[in-house]
Amino acid sequence: MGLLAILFAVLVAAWCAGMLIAQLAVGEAARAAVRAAARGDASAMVIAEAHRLVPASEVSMWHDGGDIHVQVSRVVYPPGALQHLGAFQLTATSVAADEAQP
Amino acid sequence: MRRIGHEWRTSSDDGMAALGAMVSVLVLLCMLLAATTCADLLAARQRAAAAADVSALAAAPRVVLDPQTACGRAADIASRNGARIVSCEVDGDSVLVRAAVSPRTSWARWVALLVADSADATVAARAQLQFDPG
Repeated sequence: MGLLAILFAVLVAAWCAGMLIAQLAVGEAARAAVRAAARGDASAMVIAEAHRLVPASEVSMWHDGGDIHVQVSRVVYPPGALQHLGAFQLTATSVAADEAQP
Repeated sequence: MRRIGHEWRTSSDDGMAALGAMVSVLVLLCMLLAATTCADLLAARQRAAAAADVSALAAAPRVVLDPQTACGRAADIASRNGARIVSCEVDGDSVLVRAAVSPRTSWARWVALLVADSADATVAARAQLQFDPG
């Protein structure tokens, strides 16, 4: 019983560490994508830049005055027995000045 | 001493097993705390790098067009990315921006203060507007 509890704790700890790494990757993808968007790259290029770092991500981009926003999100499911906890969404947003509209 | 199945177990055996389990869980919790602290510090650095990067990029055109507003624009973009500008220097036609972000947890801030003498992650970025000769 004690061993099972420890194995369960190891599983949860490993998954939490994986989630943290995935969140960092999503943040990095948002950063890279907003840089591409700020350079004036086409939407397809911006999305491709985010997908290069996080393939299973959703990318949305919108303009707000002279700023450009890029949001990258990814849905993560817990492993095995923890799946009933439901899906978690990791999201990161970056803002840059739209260089096409100084 | 009590009988379990065909074996005799002493209360000291049970105590050792419980102690072993407690130590294992404690080690796991420490590892989890270390992992979350590292992730928090890395995320703060990542956000500072991203903010410095896009702030410098936003300020670079202003250095040429309207130098008085360059650092204000950098501060605006940094704050929208959850960072603050700690220094902004216009040097000729380039701009050097330093952006800082605090880790989210007080524990990570304390670790950063202990390790790096500063609770904040600070990253510098330089940008310069280049005109296309074509």
